[in-house]
Amino acid sequence: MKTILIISKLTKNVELMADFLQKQGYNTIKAYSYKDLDKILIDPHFDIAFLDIAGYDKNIWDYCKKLKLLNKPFYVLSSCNNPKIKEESLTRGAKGVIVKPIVIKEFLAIIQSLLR
Amino acid sequence: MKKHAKREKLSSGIKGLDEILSGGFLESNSYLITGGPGNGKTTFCLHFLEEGSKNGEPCLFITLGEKEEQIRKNAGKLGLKLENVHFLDLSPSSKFFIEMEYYDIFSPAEVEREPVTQAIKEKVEALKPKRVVIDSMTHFRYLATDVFQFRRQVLSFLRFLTENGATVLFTAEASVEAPDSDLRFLADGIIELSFSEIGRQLEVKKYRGSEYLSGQHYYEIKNGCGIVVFPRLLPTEKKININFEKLSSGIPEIDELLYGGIESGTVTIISGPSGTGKTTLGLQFIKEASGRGERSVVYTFEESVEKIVERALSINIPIKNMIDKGTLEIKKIEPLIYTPYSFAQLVKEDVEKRNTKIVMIDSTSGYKLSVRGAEITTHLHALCKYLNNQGVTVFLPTEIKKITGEFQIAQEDISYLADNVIILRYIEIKGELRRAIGVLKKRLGDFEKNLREFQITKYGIKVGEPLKNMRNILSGAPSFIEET
Repeated sequence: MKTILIISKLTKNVELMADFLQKQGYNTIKAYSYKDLDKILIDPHFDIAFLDIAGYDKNIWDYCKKLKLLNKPFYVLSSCNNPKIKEESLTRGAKGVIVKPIVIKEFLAIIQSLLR
Repeated sequence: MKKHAKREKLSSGIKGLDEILSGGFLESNSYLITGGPGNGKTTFCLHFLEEGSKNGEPCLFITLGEKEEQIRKNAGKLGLKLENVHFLDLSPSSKFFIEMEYYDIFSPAEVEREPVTQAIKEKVEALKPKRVVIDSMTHFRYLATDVFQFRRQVLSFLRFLTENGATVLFTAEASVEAPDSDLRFLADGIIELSFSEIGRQLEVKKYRGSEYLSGQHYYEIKNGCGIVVFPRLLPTEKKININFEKLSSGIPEIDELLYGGIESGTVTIISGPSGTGKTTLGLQFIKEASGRGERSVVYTFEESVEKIVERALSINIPIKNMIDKGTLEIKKIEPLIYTPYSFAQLVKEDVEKRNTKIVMIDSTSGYKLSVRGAEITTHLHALCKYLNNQGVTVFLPTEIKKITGEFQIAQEDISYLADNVIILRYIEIKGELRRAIGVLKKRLGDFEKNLREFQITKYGIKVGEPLKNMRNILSGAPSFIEET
């Protein structure tokens, strides 16, 4: 079974996405803080990641780099369609940016393409 | 062919509304209660549930906005008893403001719809409510991905409730950005609540499967009793046979002017400047009616009851005896408190419940204040026509501003309402200010065309012989006709 890492400062966002992904048959790992991420990235047991950048400082881009170095495909989640965020995300190795709220069908298609 | 059983009607629980709805809401139908903020949509719906709970019916209030606790508290202030009304509180808790509850990753339609639907389904299946209120349906708009989905969801939701035996009232918050036009098509009936300068207005816009009283009605929201509706008066309702019997004034000379008196069930304008004796003349007719054992009501918009009593006693009208006997009631009406509709309701109750035969509205100028800038003629017309059809005799003392000079019946265009017009005028004879009385119109018969002198003395009204030796009396400055 494939495992997906979910990173967000908003507890409800993490819970909702985890519930949804579990219903779709995926395992999930949850991270809320840099501390959680540091632990997870020491021994990474996940296939892909979704990183909701809302509420984090600019250090979040370093974690994007780490994910890239670990060769883990990931998407950045943003609450607005901002070209600057898109540029930063792609530069740091993100496969793309998803603007919230997520459209379920589109989201499922992205997961499948990342896991292929 | 399958025969449909006659569908039961459920009382709205609102005083006056069932009259408009021909008995109430048709069972297993759904009704939209719409209007801006502060118009009393929630209170309206609570009456419906309170009425059901009084009859032992299971009643459910589904709230998506206001908290149950707050609704119960506000209802208590209005005197509504909701102890047996069940609530399903789907309003957001205060926790939503802190991060634990806030989310933005999926749309509310994806996240909330399922748990909300499940909660409603479980409650309805467990309670089997006969009456359901949804306050407000507008919230479901945010749980649908698009307009089509919203329409389908609402339709299906209403069907689920009505198929489970419920009669449903649902509110909607219409705005320019989110109009409720789609909900209007889905409901079996629409009641619109609004606010105007005159007061709170209610109008039935749609009512499938039943008759209703169209047009605008007024309502009030009062502490202690909640909403009270005043259905607009229909001149045609409950017409009774009137014999147009002549009512004497008790003053032979006035009866001579009127060729016997005024006919019962007619409207009489008593027109004249301030102080000419309009109220006194009306009271004279009422005194005679009292002698016949008939009940009269004087609605005084200007003078206090005490002043009228004092004034009547000083001119030999035994007003206290009339009041004690129950043949006269004087009601002080504050025009800025009463609307034309609440006043009409008061008059209607006096006529239908207390068998009132004569009504005096003193005066039309005071009544005009209660109309608050709207057309006085329409309201007065409806009221007078209703009273006529009930066989009630109406006196309308009407003040004209000009003391003498250019002739005028009334300040407003209300003279067409009158079956009879009696005029009282000031005249100046040899430097002395005196009064004259005359009849200008009598729809149901002939009358004397002369003017006579009119006096108010401590012994009562005195009317003289016809003023045949004078001319230009209505100018206020008559001259004597010299005999040839």
